[in-house]
Amino acid sequence: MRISVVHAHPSPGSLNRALFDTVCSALDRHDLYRFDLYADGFDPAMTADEHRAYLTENPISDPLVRRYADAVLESEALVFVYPTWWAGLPAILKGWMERVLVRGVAFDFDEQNRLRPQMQHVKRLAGVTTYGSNRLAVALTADGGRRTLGRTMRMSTGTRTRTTWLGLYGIDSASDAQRKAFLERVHREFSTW
Amino acid sequence: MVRALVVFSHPRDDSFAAAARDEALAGLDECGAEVRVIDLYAERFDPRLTAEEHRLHRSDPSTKPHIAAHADLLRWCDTVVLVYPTWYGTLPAMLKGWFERIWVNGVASEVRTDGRPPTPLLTHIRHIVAITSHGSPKWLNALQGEAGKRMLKRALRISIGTRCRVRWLAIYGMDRNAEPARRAFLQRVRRRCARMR
Repeated sequence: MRISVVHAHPSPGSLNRALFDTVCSALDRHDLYRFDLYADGFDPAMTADEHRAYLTENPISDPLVRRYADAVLESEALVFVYPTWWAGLPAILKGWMERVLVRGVAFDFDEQNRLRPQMQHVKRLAGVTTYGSNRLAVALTADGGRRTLGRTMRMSTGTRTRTTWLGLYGIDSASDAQRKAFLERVHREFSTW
Repeated sequence: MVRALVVFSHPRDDSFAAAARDEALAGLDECGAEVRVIDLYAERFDPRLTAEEHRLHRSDPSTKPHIAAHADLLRWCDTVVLVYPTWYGTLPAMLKGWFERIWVNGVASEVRTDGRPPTPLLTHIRHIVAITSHGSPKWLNALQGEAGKRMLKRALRISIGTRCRVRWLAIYGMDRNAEPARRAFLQRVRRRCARMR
């Protein structure tokens, strides 16, 4: 399977980075695109020119965005590894959705100018994330990141796309044993893909 | 007197969001508010939290002098007006990053050492007004789970406490909206802001 794994954490020494490495090694018999958005220097802010071109047939002008978009077009699975901040995706990953998942990649228009999903080739989606809050607080604040990936993104992939969700809750108070157990759980999950 | 901090996040000054910002400013002027504006794109704000900031996320804000100007505005205001387009179901990256980098420990809330929930530090903010536009219709956003609305109405409580009013002024279905619906929304924005107390 061709899989894009997208990572969004600024610190190379973070647990999140270790999760990214674990996901990639568990998936190594597949054809992987590995994207580390911070290392790539990706700028998440949509530009005025991109906004003007948004509904045209050529919405992408940045070569890095083009590279990400081409990978998405080829992928049968997308995996996102990121920390949940303010109950949602970190800005750098949110901006990746805004700039990469555009017309011709995530959606298009038919002859009657109706919006049509364009990512049915993505059969599996996965989110691997760390939460500062415990499970109850995450539930109370509605887990916006999970909604973005599990619902908004499935507007483009279709609802038959399977989603897998792996979260480590209360990371600030998690023990080393809990972190290690989570890394193992992530490895086990992706080894079955 | 109302002290309003208006935070604007759109790359274009000829956008509908910019028109909504102007109506909000006109309304706030009518109600006699003192106003400060943060235009994130015009300031070339970088929404990416840095590795250094992540390392210092539990430290005192004095370790991050580069966020002091925006943090001071948060301490000064009693009303925050957010004007932005909803993209991909929630706040645009630019505005999301503003929360991540400015609403930090010691500015927005304070982590406690006794294991209890953090102490909110922005309880002087009485109103948050979100003014936003959605390309897709309301039912579609409901299906997507309104992550942006929930972030503001729920997740922010950790900083603003439970008494702050979070008002949601949203126009849906912008992709198909005719001029009258847009005009009516802009008037609604102005009226709402003119009534702030």
